Order: sequence, then C-alpha cells, then structure tokens
Amino acid sequence: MATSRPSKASKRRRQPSSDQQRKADIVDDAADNLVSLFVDHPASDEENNGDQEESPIDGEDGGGHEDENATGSDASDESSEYSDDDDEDEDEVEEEGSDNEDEDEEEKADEPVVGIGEEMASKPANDSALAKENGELASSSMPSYAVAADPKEYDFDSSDEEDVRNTVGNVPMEWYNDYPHIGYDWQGEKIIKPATANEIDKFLKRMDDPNFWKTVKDKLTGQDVVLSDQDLEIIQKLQLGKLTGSGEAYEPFEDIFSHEVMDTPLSSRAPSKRSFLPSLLEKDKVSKLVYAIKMGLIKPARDWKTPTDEAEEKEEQFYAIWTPEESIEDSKSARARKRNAISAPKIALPGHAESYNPPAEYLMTEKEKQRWRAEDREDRRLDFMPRQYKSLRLLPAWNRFIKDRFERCLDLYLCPRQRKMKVNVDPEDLIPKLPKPKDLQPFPTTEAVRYLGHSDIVRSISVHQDGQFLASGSDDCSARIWEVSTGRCYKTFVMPDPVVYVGWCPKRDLMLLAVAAGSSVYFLNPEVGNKLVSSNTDHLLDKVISSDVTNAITSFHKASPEERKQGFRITVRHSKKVANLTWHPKGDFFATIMGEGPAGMLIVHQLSKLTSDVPWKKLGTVTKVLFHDYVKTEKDEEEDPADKDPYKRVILVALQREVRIYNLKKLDTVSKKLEPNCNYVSCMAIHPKGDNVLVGSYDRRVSWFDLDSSNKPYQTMRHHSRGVRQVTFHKKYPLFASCSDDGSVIVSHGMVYNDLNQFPLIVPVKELKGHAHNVESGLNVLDVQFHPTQPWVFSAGADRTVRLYV
Amino acid sequence: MDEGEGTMEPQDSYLQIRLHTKSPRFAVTDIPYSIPTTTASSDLNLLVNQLLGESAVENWIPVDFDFLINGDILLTSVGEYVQQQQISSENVISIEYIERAPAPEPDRSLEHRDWVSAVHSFDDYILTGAYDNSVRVWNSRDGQLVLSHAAHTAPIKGVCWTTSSSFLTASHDQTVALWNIDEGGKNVSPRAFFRGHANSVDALSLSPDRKKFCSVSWDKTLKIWSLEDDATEEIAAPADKKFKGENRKNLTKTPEMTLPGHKEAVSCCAWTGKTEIITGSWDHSIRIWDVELGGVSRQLDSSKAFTSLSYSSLNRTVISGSSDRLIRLYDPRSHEGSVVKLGFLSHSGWVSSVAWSPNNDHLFISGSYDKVMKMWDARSPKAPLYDMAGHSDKILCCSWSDRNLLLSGGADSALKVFSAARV
Amino acid sequence: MGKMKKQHSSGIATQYISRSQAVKKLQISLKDFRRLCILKGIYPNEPKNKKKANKGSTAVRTFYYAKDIQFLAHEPIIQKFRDFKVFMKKLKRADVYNDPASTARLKRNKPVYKLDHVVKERYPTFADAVRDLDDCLSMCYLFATFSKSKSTPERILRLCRRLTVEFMHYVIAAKALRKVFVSIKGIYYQADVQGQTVTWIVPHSLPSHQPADVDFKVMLTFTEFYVTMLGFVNFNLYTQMNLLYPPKLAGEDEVNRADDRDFVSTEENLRERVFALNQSLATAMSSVEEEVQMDEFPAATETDASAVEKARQEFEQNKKIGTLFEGKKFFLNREVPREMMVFLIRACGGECSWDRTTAFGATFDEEDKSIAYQLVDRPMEKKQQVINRYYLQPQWVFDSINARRLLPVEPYFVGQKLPPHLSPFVDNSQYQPITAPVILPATGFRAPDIGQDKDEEVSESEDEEGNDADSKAQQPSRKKLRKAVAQEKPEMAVRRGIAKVEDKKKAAEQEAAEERRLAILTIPKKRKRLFDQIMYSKKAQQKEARKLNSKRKAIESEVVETKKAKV
Repeated sequence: MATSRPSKASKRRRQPSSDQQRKADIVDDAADNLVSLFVDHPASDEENNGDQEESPIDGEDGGGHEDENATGSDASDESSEYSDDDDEDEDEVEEEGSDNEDEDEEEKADEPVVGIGEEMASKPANDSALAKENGELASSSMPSYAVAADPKEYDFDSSDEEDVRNTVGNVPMEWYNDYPHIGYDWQGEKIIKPATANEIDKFLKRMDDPNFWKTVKDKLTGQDVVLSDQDLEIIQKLQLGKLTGSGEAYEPFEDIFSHEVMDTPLSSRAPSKRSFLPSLLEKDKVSKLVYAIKMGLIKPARDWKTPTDEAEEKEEQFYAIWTPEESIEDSKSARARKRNAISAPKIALPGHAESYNPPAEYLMTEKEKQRWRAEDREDRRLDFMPRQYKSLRLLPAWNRFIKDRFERCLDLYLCPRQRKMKVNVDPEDLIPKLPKPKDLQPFPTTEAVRYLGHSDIVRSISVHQDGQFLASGSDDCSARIWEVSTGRCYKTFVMPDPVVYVGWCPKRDLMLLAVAAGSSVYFLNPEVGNKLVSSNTDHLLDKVISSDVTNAITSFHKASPEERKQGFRITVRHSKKVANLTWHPKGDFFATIMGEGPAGMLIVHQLSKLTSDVPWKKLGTVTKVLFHDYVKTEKDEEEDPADKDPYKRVILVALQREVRIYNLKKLDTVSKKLEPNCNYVSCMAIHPKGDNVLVGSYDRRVSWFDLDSSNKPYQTMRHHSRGVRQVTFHKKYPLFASCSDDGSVIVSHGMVYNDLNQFPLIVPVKELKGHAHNVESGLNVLDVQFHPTQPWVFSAGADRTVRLYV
Repeated sequence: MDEGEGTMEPQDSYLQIRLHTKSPRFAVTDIPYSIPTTTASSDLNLLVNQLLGESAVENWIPVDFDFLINGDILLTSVGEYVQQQQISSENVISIEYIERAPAPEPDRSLEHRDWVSAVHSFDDYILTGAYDNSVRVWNSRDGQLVLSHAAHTAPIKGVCWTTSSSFLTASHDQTVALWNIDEGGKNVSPRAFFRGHANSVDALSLSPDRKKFCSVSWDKTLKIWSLEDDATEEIAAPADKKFKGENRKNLTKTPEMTLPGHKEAVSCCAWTGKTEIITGSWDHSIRIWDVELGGVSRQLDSSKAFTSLSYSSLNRTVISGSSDRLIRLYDPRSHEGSVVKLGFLSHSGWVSSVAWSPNNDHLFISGSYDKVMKMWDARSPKAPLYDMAGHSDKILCCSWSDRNLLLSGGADSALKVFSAARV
Repeated sequence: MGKMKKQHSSGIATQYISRSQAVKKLQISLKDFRRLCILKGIYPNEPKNKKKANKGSTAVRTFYYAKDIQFLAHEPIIQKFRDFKVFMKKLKRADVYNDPASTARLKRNKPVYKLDHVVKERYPTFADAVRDLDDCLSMCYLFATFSKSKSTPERILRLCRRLTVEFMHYVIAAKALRKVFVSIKGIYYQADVQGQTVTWIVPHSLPSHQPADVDFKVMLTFTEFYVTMLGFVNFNLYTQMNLLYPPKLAGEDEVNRADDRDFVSTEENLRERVFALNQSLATAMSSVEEEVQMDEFPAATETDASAVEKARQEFEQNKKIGTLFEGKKFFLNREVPREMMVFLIRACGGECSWDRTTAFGATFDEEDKSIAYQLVDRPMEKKQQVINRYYLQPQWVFDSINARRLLPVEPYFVGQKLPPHLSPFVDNSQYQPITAPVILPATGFRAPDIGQDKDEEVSESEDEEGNDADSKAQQPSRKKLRKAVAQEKPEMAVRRGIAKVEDKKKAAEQEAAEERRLAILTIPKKRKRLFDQIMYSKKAQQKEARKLNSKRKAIESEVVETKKAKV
C-alpha cells in the first residue's frame, strides 16, 4: 500500500496541471491555491488531532485525499487531518462514505487501465476535494471567514452540499449554457441551475450588498461564493506574479510515511470486507468482452503497422496469374462482351516536327506561328509549336505533359467508342470498272470549228438533217445559218425579239426553219442546200396558207412579199411569250410552250391545217415537251388492236417535278408518269429507239429512265456541278451529251441493247470544256446538239460562240 | 549522286555510224565513223560536206543535207534520237543522207473580198474561187489581178484550169461551169453549165487526158462529165435567169455518168489514172471508182470524215486530210486492207487540204484550220520540213503549182503565195 | 393476330443502357461508378442508332452496353466500395466523438480492395496485357516523377518508381528496345515485348507546374490499376526470362561486401543499385541463351516469300540493336540525363558509368582507358579531352539506335551543330527529310529528293484538271496559234518544222488520268463520300510534303546566299 503510493502520486501529479489548463477561470485558480493557503496555518492542527482516533479509515482515506490535492506538493499531512470533517459528514450520511470508498475501489479497479477511465475516476474525487475545501471554509472557526459565520451558510455547507457536487468533470461548462441543468450529481441526477437573478436584482444586489464586488460564481455549482480577504490577497499575489503563501518557498521536505513498516498501524480498524471482494461490475464487463471475443465480435488487434508497411507487404504479392496451361471458359454473355469489346486506340506516334531538334523545314515561319497562336487548341493541327534546341541540355520539360496524360485517361474511360469501318480500301477499287473510253470511240474529243458572229448569248442551235448546215438563235435578235464544215455564216435573219428557239423541220423534203422569238413563231425558208427542196417547200406553204388565219389562241400570218424576200414564210402569233417549241417527227405538228419564263402553257399546232389547240386545259406549267413515234411492240398491239397505225405516237410533257407520257390517240389518260425526283425539270431527250428517256434538271442531275422497266430512274448521273441545260441523244451513235451552267459538255456513251434483259451501259467518255463563263447572265453552255451523221457535237454558249467538237 | 544527271549528260559516250546515200554524186566512202551522241544534223552536214570536199576533184560548193536514220529525218541530236527509238547504241547506225529541200520563200499575199475557198494555178496564172461567188485570175509573177468574175449565185467550192484559157468552177449552187477567157483576157464567157447535182458541188478534178472531169457533191454522188462540146445536148430545164440574159443558146450539160454509193457527202476527188477516180467522203471512206465499170473497185475505210485528198502520179500514193489533225498516206494499190501507210501529225486543227508536189515524189504541203501551211517530206512523218505561217484565219485550200508556187487561201480572205526553189 | 409487341422491348434499345440508368442499377454513387469503370475498363459505347437506343428520344446521353453493366454488377469491388462508405461514416463519427481509440481501431481495419482478379479478367492472357501496356507504362513513369501529396499517396509513387525500374531492367535484359525518340514532349521508347511493340513516353524532368484543371483522383484510380497490372506483367516477364523477382543483382554478395561500409542497410543499398540500372540482374538459373533461328518455310506465294524475307531482315536488324554497343564503354558527363542514357546504352549491350560523386552505381571512372565514347552535352575545349575516346553529344546514341548501326561520329562531336533528330516512327514515303544539316550543294552534298519529283507529278495531276489530254498534247502548237492570233495580220514566215516529240508515256499518263477523272464521275453516291475522304487525306499529305519541300528549298537557297555573302 504505502509502496504503491509514490507511483500513484507521480501519476496523479500530472493530472491537476492538465486541469489547470482546462479551467482558466479565476475561481478554480483560487480554489487550488486555497489548499496551499491552509498549509500556511499550522494553528489548526491541535484541534483536529483529537478526532483522528475517531476516524479509523483515515489513513486510507487520507491517502485518497492526499492523492487528490497533491498539487500543493507537500501538504499531505494537514490535508489528511482536515479531511476528517468529511469523515464526520460521512459518518452522518452513510452512503456517501460508501460512495467515497466506491470511488476508491473503482480507482483500484481502474488502475491497470490507462487513460480516460482513470481520469473519470479521479475527477469526482477532485471535485469532492474542492467542495470539501469550501466545507473547510465553513467549518473552521477562524475570524477571517466572515461568511462562514452565518448559520445559513453552515446549512448549505452541511450534507446537502454533497448534492451540489457536480460530476461533469472537466468538460467546458459553457456546453451547458443552453440546458436547464448544469451537470450531474454522483447519482446521475441533473443539477438544475439555480435561478439566476435578472438584471434588476443584480443591480439592487450591487447597491445594497457590500460584498458584491468579491462575490464570484462557482461555475461548477452555479453558487455565488464570496471571496475572503486571504483569497483576495492570493489573487493579488497571483496577479503580481508573486508566490502565494508565506515567504519561504523551499521548506525542508519531511515525509510522514517512510518505507519501513511501523509496528503499530495508524488505525486499528480492520480493512472492510468489501475491499477484498472482486467487483461485480467489473466481472460482468469482463465477461461481456470475453463473450464478444469468443463470438469474434471483437477482432484481436493485429500488431500495429503503418499503412506504408502494409503497402510494402502488399507489393510483394505479385504472383503468376497467367498460368500458360489454363483454358478460360466464359459464360455466353462474357463471350458476347469479348466479341464486341473495342480496345482503346493507341496514342498517335510523334512525327519529325515533334523532335527536339527537327529538320529546319519543320520549324514554323513567323506567319505560321501567328496563325498557330490565333487558332484555338481544338483545331490546331499540331498541339505544339515545333522548336529547335541546340542541345539536349537546353530541352525543358513539356508543361502540358500531365494534362496530356489526364486527357488520355479521360478519353479512355469517358469517351464513347464505336467500331468504324477501317478505310484501308484502295480508292481505285471504289471506282467502278467501266470499259475504257478509247474502246468506245468514236466520240468528240477536241474543238474543231468555232462559229463566230453572234453578238449576244446563243440560246439555241439546230443541225439540218443532212448535216451541212447549222442554225442558231441568239439574244441579239437574229438567227443564223452556218456551214458546218467551215464555220462560214451563210445567212442571217433579223428578228424583232431575242430568239429562244430554232429548229429545222424534221421532214426531209422540207427546207423549213422554225424560229421562236418573242410572242411568235416564225417559219423561214433559208434557201440553202438543195434548191429543189426549198422550192418544193415554198409551193407547199403557198398551198397551205392563202391568207391569215386566226383561231382561239393563236393566229397564222402569211408573210408579206418583203418579208418573203427576207426568207419569212409564216408567222404564228401567240398571246404570250413563246418559251419553247418542239417539232413532231413528221414535221406537221409542232408544240409550243407559251408563258412568261421558261415554263408555261402547252399548245399543239398543226401546220398543214393551221390549227392550234390546248390539249390539257388544267395541266400545270409545262417546262418541256417532246413528241415521239416508235414502232409498236406486241404489248402495244394487244393494248388496242383497233388502230392499224404501225407506229405508237406519244407525247412527253415535262412538268416541274415529273414527266408525263400521253398517247396521242387518247390524250385524256396519262399512260406513264416518270418521277426524276428533282425540283425542276429543265430538259428531256428520248432515245431514238424510244424506250429510254433522259431527263435533266436544274438541280444538277441527269436521270436515265428505262420506260419498259419502271418510272423511277434507272440511273441518276451527277456529273455536273451546276444546273443542266440540255440533254440530247445522237441519232446514229450510242452517244448522249449534257451541257450545264458549269461550262462543261459531258459526252457519255449510252448503249442500249436489243435484248430487254440487258441493262443499258452508261459511261461518260469525254468532258468538253472551253466555253467562257458569261458573268452578267451567269449562263454558260445553253444548248448542245449532235451532228446527225458524224460523231460530232455542237454547243452553244453564253460567250456568243457556237463550237463544234469532233 | 542522283541518276537524273547520269541520263542527262553522258558526255563521254560515242556512237558508231555509217553514212550512205542513194544519189551517186554525193557518195562518200562507206566506213563507220564514231561521233559524240550530241551530234546534230548540222554537225553531220559539216562532216559530210568536208568529206565530199576532200574527195571532190574540183572545189566543192557545200550542199545542205537531211539525214535519215531508218527512214525518218533526223531533227534532234543523234543521241536523243537513239534514245527515243531505243536503238541499241552498240551496233553501227546507218544514216542515209539526202539533199535537203530548200526552204520556200514568202512571196506575196493576194487579198480577196471574201474567204478564198479554192485555188488552182496553171503556168503563171492563179485561179481562185471565193465565197463572194466570184472567181479571180491572178498573175503569179507580179501578183496583179488579171480578171474577176461573179460566176455563180453561191459560194464557189472548187476551181480548175482546163486549158490555159478555160477553167471550171464548182459552186454551192449545185452547178459546175466551164468558162472561157477571151483574147483580151479581161472578160469571161460561159461555155457550159453542168447541171445535175442535187446539192452543193464541193470538188472537181480534171482527168489526165483533159477530156473529162469529175465532180463530187453533198448529194453523195460522184458525177463524171465530158468536156467535149459535141457531148452537149439540149435540155428544156431553164438555166438561171442571170445567164439567160447573157447567152442565147442553152449551155446546160448533163452528167456522162453518175456514181452513187457513198453514204455521206462526198468532199474530195482525184483522178488516179485514165479510168480511175478516187473520192473521199464524210462517211469515213475513200473509194476508188473504175470509170469503165462504173463502180467501186476498192474502198478504204477510216474513222474520220475526209476533207481533202491528193494523188501523186510520181509515187502513186494518196494523202488525205480529214476532220482530225492527222494526215494519212495510203497506197491505193496495196492490197493488205485499208491500211494507213503513214500518219503525219503536226497540225493542231482540221487538215482542210493537202497537195502533192507535182515534180518531187517526196514533198507535199498541207493546209489546216490552225492557220499554218506545212511542207512535208513523206519520209519524215515525225516532223514537217517547214511551217509556213501568214494566215490569220483558217486555211481552206492549198495548192502546189507546177511553177513550184505554194498557194494557200484561207478564211482571212487572202491567198498567200510561197515560192519553193526547184529541187 | 398475335399480341402487340411493346416498343423498345428488343433490339438496340435493350442492348444499350444510359449512364444514369447504369448508376441506378448498380446502386452506387456516380463517383464510385466512374472509378469502377476505370478499374474494370468499361467504357461508353456509341450506339449504331442513337435514337433507337435512346428509346426514341433525342436527348444527349452516354450509353454503355447493358451486358457490361450486368457484368459490373457482379464485381466484388462494389461491395468494397460500400464497405468503405460505411467505414468513412464510422470514422467520421468516431472523431466527431473525439474517440481516438476507435478511430485507431477503425483505421486499422479499413477496407482495402485488391485488383488482381480484375487484371486477370481484363487480360485473360499475358499477351493481352502486354498489348495494353502503353498507357500503363506512360502513366507509371509519370507518377514515378511525382512527389508525395494528398492526391498522390507515397505507396503508389514508390510502387511506380520500383515497377518502372524493374521494367527497364527487363528491357535491358531482354534487349527488347527498338526505337527511341526525344521529342519536345518527352522521350518515346519503343520496345518489342514478347513480339508486341510497346511504346511509352517518359517525361523529361519533373514537370514542375501542376495544372489546376487536372483531377488527380482520376489519374490515381488509373494508376492503382496500372501498378497492379504492371506488377504482374513484370513478374511474368521476369519469370519467363528466368530472372529473380523481385530483382536481385548479379554477383550481389561481393558488391555488398564492397559497399556496405558507406551504406547503412543492404536492402537500401540493393534498391539504390537496382535503380541505378547499371548492373545486370541475377538469373534464377544460369541457362545457356539458346540462339533463336528463323526457320524458313517453303513460301506459298511470292508475296509470301517477300513477307518471310522481310520478317527475316527485321529479325536480323533487331538482333543488331541488341549488340549495337557490344563491348563499348560509355562515360556520361554530369549534365547528361543519366537514367535514360544508361537504359539506352545497356539495352544495346554497352556498358556505361559516370562520376561517382554524381550518383550511385558508377562502375568505372573517367580515367578508365577503355572508355570508347564520352557523352558530353556542354561546350568543352579540346584540351580537356582525353585523346583516345570520342566526345559525343547524346543524340548520337539515339540516332544510332534508330539507324540500327553506329553512325559516323563526326557530325556529333562536341560543339558541332547537330544533324536533325528524326522520328523513327514515321514512314518517309510522302516526304524524305534530309538527314544531314543543310549544307551547300557546292560541298558536294546532294540530298536524294524523293519527295520532290513526287510533288511535281502531283502538281501535274492537279493542273491537268481543266484542260483535257489532247489539248495538252498539242500545247506548243496551241501557243503558236495564240501568238498568231495576237498579232492581227501575222507576217508571212517560213520556219523549220519542229519535230513534235510527244513521248508516249506522258500521253498515256494523261489519257489514264482523264479516264480516271471520268470514271470518278460514275462512282455511286454512297461510295463517293468514302472516296472523297480518302482522296482528301491523300491530297492533304501531298500538300504537306510539297510545303515542306518548298520551305527546304527556301532554306537551302538562303544558306547559299549567306555563304556567297561571306565569300
């Protein structure tokens, strides 16, 4: 027991110091110091001595006490004596004493345990010490204790003072600020805060209470305490930084308890039985732990290691996970996953430009640098600026390195992947294999003759059947006749209006040229070529028209003698501008399109009868019209065996978005409807055999229709980069040509085979350029026509020329 | 080093050549010479002249030579030529040399009112037909316009002297007319109108015995007419009013023979013998007609429409111009099909007309729409001998007169006259 | 009729699952989901038909394969994540209650997850792992340079450092290095590991500035996986090379005896030595290195034959690299980047050392007579130099390795202007840069211009577009014509006829070109797009090459000018 003490003391000595730090408030300081204060009063010794006998457990207890207020280092003995008062109290109130002992026992129980538990145990003791001290103040009969004198104070000091003991320990009291209670007593009951006086009471109190200035509030109990003069003095001393207590600081230390055992015990009271019995509380605590351990609720603590050590040990745990002779069998889904797993693309490998010492040509010029800086990071082609360093030493770190890696990471786990068709195909394989153009000769290749003379855009051209003469109509209000072979202009006919169309009469034994200009169509006899033919033509026309004929829509006028001298024969006046004209192959019928702009109303005229009528009243605006006769097939035969006409006569009418084919016999029903799915049909041509049709449109397309197969294009050609103006077939050779505003004439080989189940072969064979672009009109090549017998093609351009390509 | 230089400058390389000629007066000793590859024909020329000079007894006047390596004339350096032809430079190259045709001199330009479409010359007199429907006769010595006559009602397509005082004109107005120049030489009188063509008459050609002539027309026919006066017979069909006034008696003549067969317009014709005519047509064929049989004896097919052809009685071959840049040389008598013996490619436009030299069996001229007339040596298809510029528009016709005048008429309404020295 | 089928109950709609759905399905936070994706290598997929996958809506979403997510759902790591969440809660609670004891206890058994099984299932075979090694290596090298911080825990860093060094040791031992390229971004190495080419990039020196907009957590997660993977890969490589793992140095014991004095602990010593890369590793058993012979098979086709031939050459070349610096001794000056040079030199069979004071692991001293090359990277007078060795700049090493032969040393002498350092990764089909610095043609140096004639023809093919073949063929005469037109009345003139030398080849080319152009017109629409793309890229390359050429010409010319000016 005695031996154990110093260790205990040493342990304890740490304790209050920490307390001191915690309780910063002056009262506690004072309280601590009061202890040492008592030390300074040996006077009181005698009185208490007598009592010592009465308290048998004193030694024990005193030990306890001594422990508690060991702060005043060397005051153990007195304290022991003073403690007696408690004992008396204990005697009066049984359970308290037991309580004290309990505490002590707890202390014992706790002793092996370190840290918190211990503190907890010690705290109440400590507090009791304090409280006791207050008690001292009361009980001592010293005159200086004014307060202690009054009996009320004594009552307060008496046993019920114990209740006030606060067991909250060294928690900061302000935690209780907003609670009604201020802590717990030893029974765990709340200690209710004493009613705090409101400001007025305080004021009154201050007014009439002389001690108000030295009244402080005990934080723990919430009681007011009036400080004695000594206290004040001590406080002053503290404030002055002097030693409290009397002058001598270093008194010789004599300890009462020595190591040698005394022959007579200090007290004769036998140790209580309870001190020999193990505590039940402990017992069931321990048993709980044992149970927990048994049940594995608490893991036995491993020997502690720092995380890094763990890491070390983890690192070592690399082993062979890829054992060669294992076969991985997957679930179906896993296999599926593997199948459509897409491995991340590798990082692009660096080029010369990225070198730290690249060839000089890879460095940027000033201009490039500026451009590079101007661009923002995404659309730079190089994400760095090539630099040249004289030596490795001078090469700095790349400051975006981390960023790059990071972006790579983001790509790896954030950006969606998709399996793309890898285009490692040879582009040449994409080009369809077609027969070589030079195997498909003849076709026009080079410009041979230019027909110069027109002073404005040439709108339309037409070649005479026997291929000697070419007619052209131009915006300069003239139509001209040219000799094909030399480019010689033979005749010029001056018209009142710009010429939109010229066309030779298809009838072989007529030398008749139809010219559409303004709102009328003029029929001329150019009197070139075969004299007989032209004279016959005149006779015929004279027979046909004796005088002017006027009908609903148009009027036919006979040319006056002077007009006749100029070559005019018949004039057909319309009510509106004539946009276009088409001859029937027989040369008797012809159709005109009347209306402002390129499209309008369709009128069919018959030259021999000088009649003209509108076959379809409510047909939309017509852009183009074509007649065609072809030998009937069996199919046509059985369609109507009635008519014996060996030919089937059809008329093709191009509306803006579709092409309708009517049978001339029964105009009321559309026999076929072609859908070139384009916005605006600009031109049509029909194959001499009659079962294939070309449709050109302003939206750059040329569609090839096979009338037998379907009403959808067999093939759509996007050869031109601008609107298509004219398409035409060659009469003899398997050629067709298309001209466009992009200034090119594309000649294609379009072979139609006789057996119906072989598809037509379409191969573009030549692109003829040369016509200059006409800026103000934006037009370029306006018309293209083939030579009737030779594989030659004529093109009329907005550059006022007509050209022959052979 | 890069191989580029290696090919460019083989300074050190030499070639073995052997010189020979057909003409005995220029013969040199036949021994191989080794010359640097850079040697051009001029150097060879020097060499040969030197050799001749050494060998010659009296002092030698240098002659210009052309040098032929297996058949075509050397124009580049020997080395380059060898490279082009991939001739092995190891073995000896035999070079033939011939006297070079001297360059023709620009003589004069005869201005017309309209395009000159046809030309023919006889002795000193040049006959031209123009698009202004009139024929003109010029004196080639002083270039004076002897006479001009509005012969037709449509452009004239062909002209031909029959005698020194009479000539034929073929016109677009479907007639051929025979004219006489009367003594004064100032005015012209019609002797006959040859009617029967149904379309414009494009060319005519006089038979070697000057008794007949043939004309070809756009109406796809070849017609043969006789020039004898007795062959004329009366025809009711009235002639043009114009001539009615002038001459009382009717001069219309009808064709002696009409030879249809061409599928397209016939554009050119030439007599190749007493009874043989060759015609070129737009139907891409050349036909050889036998007048006795009145049918086609042979047919040569091509892929282009023929615009003109010319037959040389000296070497009995036909050259033809067609609607492309190539001049083709046929041998009408060769029987291995319609093979083009040679192709002369230097023009850049249609070859509108060709003409053999009347007295040199190697030379001919060709006029083209590219405004240049070229003189060729039949042995060098690679390059013409001379280019004769001067026209500012298409050349429509050309002719090589027996006086060695090279005539070309064109769409710039001018007739250019070059004089070629006689070889 | 049958029951009407519900919409989006089959097909694409069921194959894909949007991210939010996935997160919901897995019942983890988005953060954890991301980490999971990173660890398990799950990535979003772009559906073939977005609208369908999106069940008809056109909202922007990222999609995953439903199967992938299904697969994730079975991942034990998810449980670990949850545990960790709990753990964090507890921990927070504990230190809120200021309870160090439980805090300590909790910290002690904090849930950790291991990624071994992930490695295994992501890379069923070793080859797969090697194939995917690029990013792994680059990342580890980067992390090895980092310094400890909150976002970069020390253990990872140390691990990275260790593993990268081990890998380098492997490359050295296996002589697997193929190419090296010093770019301004970093040093690219390319090695041939088990027949797979592995390319990785190493930062130059510590990248000092740490970008703010980089989320190191993400990178860390990646690295966590990478180190595990690299660890196993190393292990496997070492075992296959039958080297000891963890690496031990050959003849370690006596080295220890030698150096234990100046080093406190042997394992510290060992690590330092290993990190110095300067000694070969100890093999488990001394096995005779059997010479691998390429055995020839009768080639089926001639292409096959060529392939075989190429393979053989490749093989030979690689063997050459291994023994490039055989028996050569290098000495590195202080300023030369040590680790990299040591790695390169030793990987090519050379041995090298440096000044003992600069770093640990030096094997011989500068005075050593047998030193063949000394790598110097700073100006240095002649008189400092020892007579019987070359003083070269480090670039010589890189270029030699890439050239697979010892390059002439002259251009690389100290103080010389270095020839350009070219990337070994690009094929110079488009443009062949000159490998020597620009010198005057006068000095007899001519660069083989491969690019040049190429781009000539390119330009040809381009300007060919406008006019067609024949017109080109008759170009000269055309000119003549134009001249004739120009002067209104041209003089009559006689010129000697010029031979029209139309060379067949050119004509043929032009004809072919035109045919091609026409054929291109006939490409059907859907194919056309692809075709255009390809053509575009080709054009771009050619353009690039052309540009470079013009630049080079300019430079050369101005060099000439300057030289002239001097003279």
